Amino acid sequence: MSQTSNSVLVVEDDPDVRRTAQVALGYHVARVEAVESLDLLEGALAATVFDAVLLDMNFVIGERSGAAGLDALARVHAFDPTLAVVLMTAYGGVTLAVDALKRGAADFVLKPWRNDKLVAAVTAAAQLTHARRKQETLQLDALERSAIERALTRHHGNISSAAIALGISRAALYRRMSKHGL
Amino acid sequence: MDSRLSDSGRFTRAVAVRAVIVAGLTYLAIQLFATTHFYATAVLVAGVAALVAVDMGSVISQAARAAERDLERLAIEGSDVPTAAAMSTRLGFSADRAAAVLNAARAERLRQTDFLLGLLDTVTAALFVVAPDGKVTLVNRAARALAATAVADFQAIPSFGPAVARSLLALAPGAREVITLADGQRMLASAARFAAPGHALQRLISLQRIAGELDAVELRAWQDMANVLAHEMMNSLTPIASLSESLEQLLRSNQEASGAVEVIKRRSRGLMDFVERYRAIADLPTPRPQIMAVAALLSDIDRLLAPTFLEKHIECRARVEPPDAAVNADPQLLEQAVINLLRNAADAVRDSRPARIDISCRTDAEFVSVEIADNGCGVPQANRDQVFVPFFTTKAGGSGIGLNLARQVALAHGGQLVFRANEPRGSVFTLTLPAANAAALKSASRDQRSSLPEPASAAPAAAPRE
Repeated sequence: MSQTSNSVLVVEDDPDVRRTAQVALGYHVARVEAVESLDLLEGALAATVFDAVLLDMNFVIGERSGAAGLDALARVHAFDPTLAVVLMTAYGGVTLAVDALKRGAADFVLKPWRNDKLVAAVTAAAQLTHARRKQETLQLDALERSAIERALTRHHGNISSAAIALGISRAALYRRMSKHGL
Repeated sequence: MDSRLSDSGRFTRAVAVRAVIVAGLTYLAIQLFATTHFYATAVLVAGVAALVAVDMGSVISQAARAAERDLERLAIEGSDVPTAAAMSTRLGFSADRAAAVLNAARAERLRQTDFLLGLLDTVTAALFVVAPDGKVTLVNRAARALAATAVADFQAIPSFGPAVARSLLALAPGAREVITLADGQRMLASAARFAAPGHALQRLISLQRIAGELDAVELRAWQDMANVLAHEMMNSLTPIASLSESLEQLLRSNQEASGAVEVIKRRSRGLMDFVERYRAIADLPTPRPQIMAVAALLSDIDRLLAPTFLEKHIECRARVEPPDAAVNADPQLLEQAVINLLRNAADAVRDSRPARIDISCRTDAEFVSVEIADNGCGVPQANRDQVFVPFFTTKAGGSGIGLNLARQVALAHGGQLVFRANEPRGSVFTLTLPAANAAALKSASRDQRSSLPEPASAAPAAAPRE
């Protein structure tokens, strides 16, 4: 698999597993960062725009429900709803996987993983992130276009009035109109 | 009442008249002796008084003897009103009250006996009281159900078989032992010895059904331990497996090093395969039971497996009795369990000619039992205890999880899966599940039909937003 320009954040408390994930993903991903605790999660997300997050579900020793991971998943989505998250766990199987996917995880990887499967899951998650972001941009564009159209209709094609109504300069409205082909 | 009163009055009168005569004659004798000189007459009068007194004594003692006999009869025969009446007659005092007290005590004793017998019937353990000659003298309801036939001779109870019956009779008092019945069920047996007044030394044998409870506890303990082990194993295995793959790519140019790493990779892959199989049985989903017909389940599975059976020349017959037998179970899990059992049977009959698998179904008030019997190679005596042990397999390439998984499914539904040897050869697996009655099945399928058209209110139309 060829290297992509993706950047991935690994959240894992076990240093060996963290390093292993970095090595395994290193050939296929432009940048792999890793944090060892959930406290550092938001800081890392704020510092870099990641394309995918690989998140361990079990941060508390003896805790097997994966609640910590599901909580962290919600935090990632609160920070950036477009960022796709791959969960990983040494426990569980179908039950936990279904629960994780229901809560919006992009994929679910069981430890120990096979490298090709891990890479495939993370790459697919990055693609999902890209698709979501593109969708979001498209939605923004569509909103903008319909707002301009409505303003123009309301002001009977008068550019100056429409620009005032939209709160932008006449020049800016012309630029956006040409962008949307209006 | 009147006649009894007059009877008792006669006794009282007889005694009273005699007492008056004795008292009068005694007074007369004393007067004669003290105030006159008719000593001979006084002695004569005193003699008559003594004779009357003796007669009075005999009247009283006769009545007392009769009363004693009556009391004995009362004690033996219980609520015997004529006896009580006779006592009243003869004794002339309120013997009927004594009889009433005795009768009440007897009735209370009978009530207590009924209560205790009723109590014994509610005990889930099967209780047999066996006399020294091997005759069964008392059984409770559970024991009657277990024996299935009228039991007289303990050794002749068919569900035990002679060998088990012998070992049960040989159990030392206070000893406990897990025994396997003829149908493969496991039970905890314990024995006690007791002597009741007027009876020879009796032996109490109790049999407690343990499969469900014990197996579930055992299973949970095993799962908990395995989960803890698994966490350590899998977390440690993660870097080994992944890094050896990464290293192999890095070291392609160095043949020796890459060869060494290849071994690590291969062995860690082997471990990972094991882990995969472990996961299949360690994480059984919680069943979502619904009422389903056994016949429909079996015909679905038959459609799935029929090509395999045809190819392997296996004759598979299913008989569901009654035809509308229904269970309350998770359809997917139950299907998987039955498929595992049938695959196991199909493997077992590989070298049998003709190869046969018989599926039968029996129901009682609480449970439905599905029996899968084959005429295959069977399980050697030495391995019979290990049939359900996870990862235990005697087949090349077998994973050792199929039967364990099937058993877990049974236990998760509050049922059980037991194994026994088939006659003359092969194996029988009996899967027992909680029954659902036919009426419930009908109403369940009606509900499913009626819920098919989605109610319009369930899907509100998306409101346009500003």
